[in-house]
Amino acid sequence: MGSKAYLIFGTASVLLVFASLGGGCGSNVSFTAASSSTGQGGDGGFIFLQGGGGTTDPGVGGSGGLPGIDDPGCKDKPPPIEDFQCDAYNQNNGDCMPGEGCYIYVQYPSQPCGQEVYGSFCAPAGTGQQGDPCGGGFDCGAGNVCVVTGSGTQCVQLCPLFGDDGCPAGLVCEPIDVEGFGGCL
Amino acid sequence: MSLTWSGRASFVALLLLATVVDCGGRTELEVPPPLPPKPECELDADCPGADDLCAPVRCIDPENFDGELPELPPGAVLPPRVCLVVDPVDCDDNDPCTNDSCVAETGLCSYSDATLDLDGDGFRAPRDGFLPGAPDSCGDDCNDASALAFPGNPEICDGVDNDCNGIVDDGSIFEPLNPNPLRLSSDMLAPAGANGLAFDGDTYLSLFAGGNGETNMFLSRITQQGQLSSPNEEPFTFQNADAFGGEILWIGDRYGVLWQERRDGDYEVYFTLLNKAAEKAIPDTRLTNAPGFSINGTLAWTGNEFIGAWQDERNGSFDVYAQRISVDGVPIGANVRLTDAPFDDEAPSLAVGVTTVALAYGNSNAGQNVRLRLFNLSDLSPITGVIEVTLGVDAVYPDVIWNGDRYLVTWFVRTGSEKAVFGATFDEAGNALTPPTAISNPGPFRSRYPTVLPLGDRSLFIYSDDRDGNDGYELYSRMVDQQLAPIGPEQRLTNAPRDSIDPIATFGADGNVGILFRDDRDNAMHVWFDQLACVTMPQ
Repeated sequence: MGSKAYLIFGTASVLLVFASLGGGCGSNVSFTAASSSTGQGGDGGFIFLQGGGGTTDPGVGGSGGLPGIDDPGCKDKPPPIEDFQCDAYNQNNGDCMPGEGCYIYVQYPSQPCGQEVYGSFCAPAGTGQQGDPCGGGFDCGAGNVCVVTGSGTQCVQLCPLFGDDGCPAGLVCEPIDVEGFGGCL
Repeated sequence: MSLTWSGRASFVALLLLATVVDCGGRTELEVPPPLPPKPECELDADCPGADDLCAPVRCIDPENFDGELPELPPGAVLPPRVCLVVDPVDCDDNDPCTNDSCVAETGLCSYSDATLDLDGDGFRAPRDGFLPGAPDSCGDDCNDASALAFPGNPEICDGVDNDCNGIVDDGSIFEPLNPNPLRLSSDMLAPAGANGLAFDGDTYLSLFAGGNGETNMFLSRITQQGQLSSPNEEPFTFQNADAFGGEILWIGDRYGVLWQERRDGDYEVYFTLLNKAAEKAIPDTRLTNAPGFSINGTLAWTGNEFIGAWQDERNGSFDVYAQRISVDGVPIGANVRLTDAPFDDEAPSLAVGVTTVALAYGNSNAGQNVRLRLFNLSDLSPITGVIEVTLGVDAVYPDVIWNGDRYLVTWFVRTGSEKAVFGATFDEAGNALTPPTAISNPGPFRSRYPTVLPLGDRSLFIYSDDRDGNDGYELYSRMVDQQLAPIGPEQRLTNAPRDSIDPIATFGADGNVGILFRDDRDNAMHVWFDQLACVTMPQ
């Protein structure tokens, strides 16, 4: 069934609010009101870092008679909006004031087929380092990000998705659900 | 003739009896006799449920009715005409192998098979909670996802327990099949990650996520010979927001897929069915609607229905929730909360035994530890309390499989002196059979990301390890017996720069094992596929 190596970044303390963006083009979804909860949450305060998953299945045979359907999805969706105000991979380049760090964030679409927003901004730096528990992005030091990993919500060091990742020995760079960023896990 | 009085409202009024009040010296009032009750109906059509021929409601005169009337409280009087259920249809044929029901429109009984033969091999899967062939099991197929597994079939090297003796490919070993693995994801989809792999009897179907920006999921088919086929990098999700993770299962005539996606402003869990052509057969079905993230989904098949589980943030911290799903992809009941503990419960994995469902998950109380809990197969009610599989070690990302007569829980230890892949086994009552046992031996280095295939009397572990100093992790395999003792050495499967991680394995044709994994050898994160060959050993 594979490992679960997803990471989520903490943006609970991010105060940026974006208006509802994008238009609906209709997704092919059936919904079951299986939850007793009311409504759905916001951004949850975190970002994913993506990795494994999957399953094993010793299946053989069968004829497969189910008819197919068309999934309209969001085929004409607009591209994500990007608003990077500083370089999170280069924390000491002068983009932010002393004592601040450059933090990445994501704003999930508030409606089907809306636009995601990716960006970064300067904020007072936290102290959390690789592997430290965290509850939001600002708990982590500059160059780190608070992610839900499936093995604790923790600060992880940002890493590039291509080439040498620069992660500490034994750690692996996993994609975060913010465009262009990875975290060491 | 049996009866049930359907009239209740008017009957209550009959219970109001006149009373005499003594007010000290005053003359007693003369209380008139109670008025006769009004008729409840004039015609059958006046009675609610009159058109249900399974429990026909009739308007009858109790005075001229020769059947049994309902028992009344003292002082109550039946109206002159009442609505009564007359002769409800009893369709119970006392046969546990049929589902008995009555058709309301016709009043006729309907009987359907209580078990399924999804793989079409002529042998039915047993009822939930029964071993194949057991009394009242109504089925003796040990694997209804495979037409090559049924009682009396000769055993061959094909990854299937052909003869249903509880052992897959009796006595075989597994060796690398191809000199080089196959890359599935194109440059456009980097970074990409492996999500799921299943084999439908003819080809493998892989599910992976990719894209530098919005992450979507894609399907690629791989032939038994390890070649790409159609669909190739076919979009599975078409949304505006990230979708990834989850699992894909082949159950004999269709695939079940569970994943997470934030199309609706938050990560929620979705499910769909694919036909053998890998086309969606039903709309994406959203399983969760709750505050916070619903993520890290896992999927199991009981033989009659799917069970999905995931970590869910609706209560503040993460708990594990589950959803039963019919073979046709319809949710059964509501989300079921499986864990309720302080601190986060994360990274769930499900396996189905004979009468129970096992949930392995990580818990962040006092560091990262692995827990196990068993649930009733039919309704997910708890069978055991929380079983602490590990305590005091940094144990993460558990996985659980059912292997013959026991559950095997696996995980890896992230820090400490022995950063290895571990396993432990439990029976269906939750009793420990084998304590936590190191499967790999990385020395001062590390082993991670175990995936395991059950062989009945053995288990095949596939995992990553960075012991060789080859610029990252490589894939390894090792066979162990039911007591988790090694059978043979650890076997290195990949040899390339950078990381080879997150293996997902499934049995394929001729007993070969397909492996989907992430590999960074091309200087970017891509999804690759490789196979192990089944080699029959002399008995």
